[in-house]
Amino acid sequence: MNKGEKILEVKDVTAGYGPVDVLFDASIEVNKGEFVVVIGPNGAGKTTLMRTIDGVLKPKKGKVMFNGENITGMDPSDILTKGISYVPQEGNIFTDMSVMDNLEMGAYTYEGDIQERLDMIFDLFPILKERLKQTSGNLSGGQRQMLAISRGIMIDPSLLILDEPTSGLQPNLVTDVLDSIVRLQEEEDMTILLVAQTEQAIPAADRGYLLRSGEIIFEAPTDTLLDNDQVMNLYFGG
Amino acid sequence: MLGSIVNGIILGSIITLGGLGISYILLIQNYFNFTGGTFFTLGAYLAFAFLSIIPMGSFPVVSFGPGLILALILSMIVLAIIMTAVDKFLYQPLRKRNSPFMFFYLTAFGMLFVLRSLIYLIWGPQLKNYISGVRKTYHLAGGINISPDEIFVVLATLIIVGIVYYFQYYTKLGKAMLATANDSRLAEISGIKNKHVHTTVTIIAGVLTATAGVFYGLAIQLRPIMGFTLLMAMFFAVVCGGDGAILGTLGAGLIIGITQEFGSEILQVIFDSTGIPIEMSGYKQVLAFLLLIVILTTKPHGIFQGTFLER
Repeated sequence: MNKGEKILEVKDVTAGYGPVDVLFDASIEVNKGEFVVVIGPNGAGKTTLMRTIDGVLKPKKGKVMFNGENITGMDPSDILTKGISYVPQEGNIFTDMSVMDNLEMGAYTYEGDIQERLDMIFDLFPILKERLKQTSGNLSGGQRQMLAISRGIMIDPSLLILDEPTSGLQPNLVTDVLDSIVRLQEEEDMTILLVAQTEQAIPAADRGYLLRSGEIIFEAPTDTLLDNDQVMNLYFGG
Repeated sequence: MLGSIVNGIILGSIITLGGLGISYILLIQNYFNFTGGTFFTLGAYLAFAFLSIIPMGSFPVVSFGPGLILALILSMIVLAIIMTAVDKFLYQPLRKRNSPFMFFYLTAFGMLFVLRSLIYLIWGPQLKNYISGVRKTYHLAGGINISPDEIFVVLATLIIVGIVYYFQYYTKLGKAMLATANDSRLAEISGIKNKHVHTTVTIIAGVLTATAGVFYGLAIQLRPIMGFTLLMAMFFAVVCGGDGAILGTLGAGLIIGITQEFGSEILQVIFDSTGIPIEMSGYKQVLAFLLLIVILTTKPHGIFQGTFLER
């Protein structure tokens, strides 16, 4: 697949929890090599959208296409083998296991050279190399996020989905984590779909979607997003 | 007294293997498998049934032959199949529906009575032995009487515990089991299929439980309530060892084995000297229960480091 070709297509997806729908006819597209951000206020359905793409939630309506293949309703473990890796906002590391075990579990289905992946990760997040034997539950917030992203990229995914990876981090760490994500896009040629909580994430992306009350209401390149009063009012309250 | 400690080590080895079977189910499937003791009995009787068609043969030193090893392997396979079938048809639907854990316990209790009735129906209430006749016993200093079969049981247990330890902490599948125990949702999105892990765990539990049952039959004898009488001791090993902790279960298994044997002998001496007419051999489970209460009230998280810290 060439850069710029459509890699992910979410078409008119309606999904929710039990009888309650959270997402209504949502549609997004991500092209290969792109860094796409999904923004929206709390409760807009951002996480529900990511869970639906990854198979954690089965949509009630609509479909999810990946590399031209319909992956709607597949199990998360099968979707992973197709090349989509999902890093949830919470519960994104095995807290009782060591850093190294977390990385190994991230590569559970990976058939290539694991050492190569580890070298790439240690280059991206050198601190993890120093913490390999440490129980991951004892890591700091920033280190946890670094490990969560690393666990997600161990299989060398075609599409990396990150759900609010900078949530709860200090401002300087937010910059570090976002810089690492940009490096993944640029150096590893990884396609990124990111749910953003902070406006700092928007300039790093190529394009963005605004989600409100379960509906996609706006889609634009990120500079347009940042200039849009509606976005700024809705999302950042000013 | 030294003799009862040795007997405790032998019993503790058997408790460890049975306890590990229950421990694995608790670690991954989050419920206490009350049927564990009855599966233990079934494993022992399955080997007994296979021995009726397999010639025993003979090994040097010990009283059994290759026939028992073959019967043990067949018992492991059949018990693993039975336990996997029970999991698939009874517990998997409960897991799918996110049923309350009370449903799991009720199902386990129901299975316990069904299996026990079947064992009585097929093999009857009489005591049985794998080997007939008098067995060779070494009479050592300190009143220690130990047979080569019992030495085999202890050594084989240590080897099996070593293999299980290696599997759990140093293999990809073993770590995947730990990952599932830690966070099954994250494990699933990391590519670890929960269904496969559940099946693997059930098979391992079946193999360990069958081995424990056959070892009990070899070192002591076969009777329909053999697993049930050890259930409290096995629960002790699981709770105090830390669910899924291999070395913890071994340590707790040996502690409870020795406590039951040594403690009951001490108490017997006390009761005999005071003229209280109590036969302590019938109250060994009470000792296991009392020790469990003491440990749970003083060290509620168990006495060992737990599954994720013992490596």
